[in-house]
Amino acid sequence: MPCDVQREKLAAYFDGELAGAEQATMARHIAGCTSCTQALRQLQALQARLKKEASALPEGLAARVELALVDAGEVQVVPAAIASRWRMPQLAGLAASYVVVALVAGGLGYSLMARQQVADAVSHDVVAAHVRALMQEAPYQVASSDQHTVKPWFAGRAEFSPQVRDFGPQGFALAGGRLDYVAGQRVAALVYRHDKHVIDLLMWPTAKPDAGPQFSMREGFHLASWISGGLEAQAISDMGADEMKAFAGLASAP
Amino acid sequence: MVESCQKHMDRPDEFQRIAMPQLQAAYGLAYTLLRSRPEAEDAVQDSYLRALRAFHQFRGEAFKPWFLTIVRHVCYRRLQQLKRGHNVISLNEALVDEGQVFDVASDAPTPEEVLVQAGEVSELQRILAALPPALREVLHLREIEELSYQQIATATGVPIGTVMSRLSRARVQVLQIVAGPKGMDGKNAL
Repeated sequence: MPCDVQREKLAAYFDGELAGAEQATMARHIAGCTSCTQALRQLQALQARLKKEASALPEGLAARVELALVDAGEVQVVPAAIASRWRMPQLAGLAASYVVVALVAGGLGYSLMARQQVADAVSHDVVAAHVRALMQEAPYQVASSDQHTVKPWFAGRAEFSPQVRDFGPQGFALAGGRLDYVAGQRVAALVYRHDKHVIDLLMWPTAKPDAGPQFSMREGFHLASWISGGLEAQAISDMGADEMKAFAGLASAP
Repeated sequence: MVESCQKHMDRPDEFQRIAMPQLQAAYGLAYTLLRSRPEAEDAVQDSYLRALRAFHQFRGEAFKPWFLTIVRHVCYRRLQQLKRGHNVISLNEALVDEGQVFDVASDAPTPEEVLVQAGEVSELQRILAALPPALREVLHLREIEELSYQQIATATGVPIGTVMSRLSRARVQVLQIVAGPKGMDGKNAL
């Protein structure tokens, strides 16, 4: 026999949203009603399946968010997720001692440490992106030396529009562009060629103020990083240090 | 000096203390709405930064619904941008030299579709993806986040009655398919 209990009321019972007395009345009714019992089982089964298939938290997201908060302002608390990235217990212990040091030394010291870790993580990603690209047949998804072809390609793919310039006359010819993934976000990658060397110029939006090029070396690659007009840029190549300086000078000019 | 610094730091620290435990909830909702991991990750980061800036407006009510409201706004804006983005791509494609074929975003299969083809997404996920976002989010907030109807109403900005009817519609639609033909016939079906 069909039951006249409304679907929404049964759901409200299931969700624990009925007032106390009503909840009890409903429970008694369901006990003697096969159709409501079956409907309730369906709700339970659905809930169990939804819970089982709930999306897991991506690894690294906590660290990324905490670093963004550190970057955004005055959050000086130790990002626990960064500490937890160090898997080995000894290192975790070390991280814990950093916590103590940070608390003693005050937020500033820690903030610098966090920044250093961000910079390390970023340059690690940059090297990985570059090496990965070099392993492909072509290090770009759109091949063109024409900046008017490369720039529109990024529209809709990236959430910002990178400045695309060709420095062919100066010896750094635009070869193309691609999307890559650095520091937990999609970045625009411009590919240049200098003789036989491939240069990757990776860019992504930042809230940080402008800063001139800084140079470093990592795993045999020369890196240059700068911030200009709300975009953070990282250039990487196996060409010489002087050539990297020349390229960074051109590319970082407004 | 130390004291003034302390005062200045107070709120952001407080924010981080109560906001970080909501990361799973934020990501879960973002993924529910955007159905793409990179999009959801970006949305979560964006939401945290926005919530930090808006934290002075937080009046000490339940934090989760307050925060999820922000996550929701960020996600809906992204959904709109994604739609707009597709249009932009189409226009740009028209500008690109003839003969050069580019991958057009709007034609590319969504991450969901790719996974479905690869058999890596369950039937349930496929059905969820096909639900309108307004139904998906209510179902998610109730079943996964276990928010009360009132909290869902606050987070989604609709009356409780609407929450109930949306929740009901979402459950019916999902159950009809998940439960199979047997669940659909007869008066016993929910």
